Amino acid sequence: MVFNNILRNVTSHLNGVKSYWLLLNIELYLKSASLYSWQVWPVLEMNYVKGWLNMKLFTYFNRHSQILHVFRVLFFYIGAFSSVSVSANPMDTLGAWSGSLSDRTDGAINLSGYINAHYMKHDGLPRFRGKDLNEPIIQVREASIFADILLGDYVVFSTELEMSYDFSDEDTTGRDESFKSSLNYYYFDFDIASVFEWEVDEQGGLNLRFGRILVPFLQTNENKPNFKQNLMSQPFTAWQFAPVNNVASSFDQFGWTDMGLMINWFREMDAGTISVKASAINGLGVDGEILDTTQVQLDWQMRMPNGMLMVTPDGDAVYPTVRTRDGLFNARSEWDDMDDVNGSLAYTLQVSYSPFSIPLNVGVSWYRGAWNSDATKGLKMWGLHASYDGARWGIKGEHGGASVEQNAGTNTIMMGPAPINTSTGDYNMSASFIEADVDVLQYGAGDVRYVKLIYRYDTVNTNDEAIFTPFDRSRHTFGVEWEFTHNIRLRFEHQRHTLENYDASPMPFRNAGGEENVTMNMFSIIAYF
Amino acid sequence: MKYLSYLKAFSFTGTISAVIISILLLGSTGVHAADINVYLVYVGADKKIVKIIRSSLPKDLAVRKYNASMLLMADYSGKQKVIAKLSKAKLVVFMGDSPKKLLGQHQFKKQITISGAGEAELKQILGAL
Repeated sequence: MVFNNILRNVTSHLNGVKSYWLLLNIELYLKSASLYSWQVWPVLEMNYVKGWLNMKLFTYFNRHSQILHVFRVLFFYIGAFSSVSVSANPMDTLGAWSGSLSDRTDGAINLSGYINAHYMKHDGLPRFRGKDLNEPIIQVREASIFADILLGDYVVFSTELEMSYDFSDEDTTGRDESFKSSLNYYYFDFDIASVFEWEVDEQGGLNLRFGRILVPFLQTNENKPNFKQNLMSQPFTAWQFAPVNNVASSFDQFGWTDMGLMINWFREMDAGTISVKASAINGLGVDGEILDTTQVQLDWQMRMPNGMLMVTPDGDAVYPTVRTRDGLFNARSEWDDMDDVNGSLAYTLQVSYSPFSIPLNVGVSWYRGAWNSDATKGLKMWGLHASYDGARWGIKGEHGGASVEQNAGTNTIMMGPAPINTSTGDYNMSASFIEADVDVLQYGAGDVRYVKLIYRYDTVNTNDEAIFTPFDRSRHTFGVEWEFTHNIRLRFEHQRHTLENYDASPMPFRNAGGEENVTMNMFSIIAYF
Repeated sequence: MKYLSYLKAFSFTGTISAVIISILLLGSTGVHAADINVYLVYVGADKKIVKIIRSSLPKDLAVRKYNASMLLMADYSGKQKVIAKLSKAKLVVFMGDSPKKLLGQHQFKKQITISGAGEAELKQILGAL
């Protein structure tokens, strides 16, 4: 106790990088002196994180020192968590608190949640005006609290408060606010089958869900939290195709949610369980003539045919504005949108089957809606999913296709190379992934701790191209995950993207730094309760 | 499709509001889940054994069952919802260890694990109540 007070007093008079380095030294000293106990580490952690936060203010930290810093943060957590008793595990503490709250409310209020933070570094992406995604990005990507509140005996109100914090410079990510938060979903779920006491192997189970729901399409969207996934990066089927997440520059609201109604009927058959989810939702849509609206300005000043720099009449430099053609994310509604761009509903259907004999889940998904303001242009999507989740290894995959109705013509974007900004009319999209994981080491009581290796291959083609889209690409991802203490994991993953049609890429894309192969390395920590 | 399109005749948000009110009224009626004595939790492969157990238990007990294999097809808040529902029962009976793993090894206030549908297991359940 005395030692803690001394430590708290010393560190409270320090800030920023100074305290960061001092604490690092104290940490090493404590370890060497065997004084590193559960009584000490919370104080260290608090001040350590404070130092990390203040680091943002010190611009003299260059890229290499940030990488070094991330390693130190990771090693700090490993050292801290591996040397504390289970009772001091913050996730266990939160879990116990949540359980206590549930008990005190007679099971009415049930809280759970997770947090993940990551360091990511890309190489080979084109530079954009106002943001360079090749610079290191450090973010608390998601800090989510789920609440399930029982209202009576058959109704549950569910919501997810999702928060994120970006430690990176604004020039790196272009993100306008460091802290963001949203209610990712909020809905009522009514257990109709229980009212009528239906048997799940006779009439089946039946639930009605309404409000802002997770759209039941493919498998990733309804399992988007990173503690449910093997990798931090989500597959292309959940990025450019089903709009589950967006790019690193603006990580914001994970999960494809929409206002609507969903009916879920499921029944035990002789050899397995079948589940049918049908929904009516507002649907994907945008104002304008094209569906895929994301635009960026490449960080390369345009030139005249004679090589002279192009300028406006006011003498300002001219930078090419292009559509990134990164898929459907821009067509997703905001978390607080009650209506969409048109009065037309969209419909989804997902049918899944899981046999009793093996932990397998296979299914098909379908989506149909109109995406433009007068509801004359349609969007159809379909998908297949399968996952096998064994005791030591698993494999899963998704494949999807979409057809988009769209007028052909040149977009209204000015100052851009015409082929990039031209719509070719109706077009099709496709995306696929396959992912395998194996626990190479399981240890601890009940083998709950493990080291896992992961490999994923995915591919996407968003099309809508006259000549070139950077999202006609494939990607290999290699990952390793270590659950080193209860409900807390470390991950590392390496990605290598290959642009399939790089030879057709226009000069501005190449001059802004766009390469045929893009690599990415990411360290992350994931904790949940 | 034709029938679903009738929803367009109403404000979508208004329709949802009406459904919410109706269901809240319905949801607050009926048998209280708190009256559930036993929740039998199993995986699909054990459904026949669980059916035998249920039919062997005294009829005056309020018994429900839950197939934890359903979690393979549920969304990520599914586990939390199931735990909340099972917590209302006086006793949670696991059929083997497999359903425990699917529920993340959650510890209920009163739970037992059985491995069959014999006399010993029935006594174990009744003794735990």
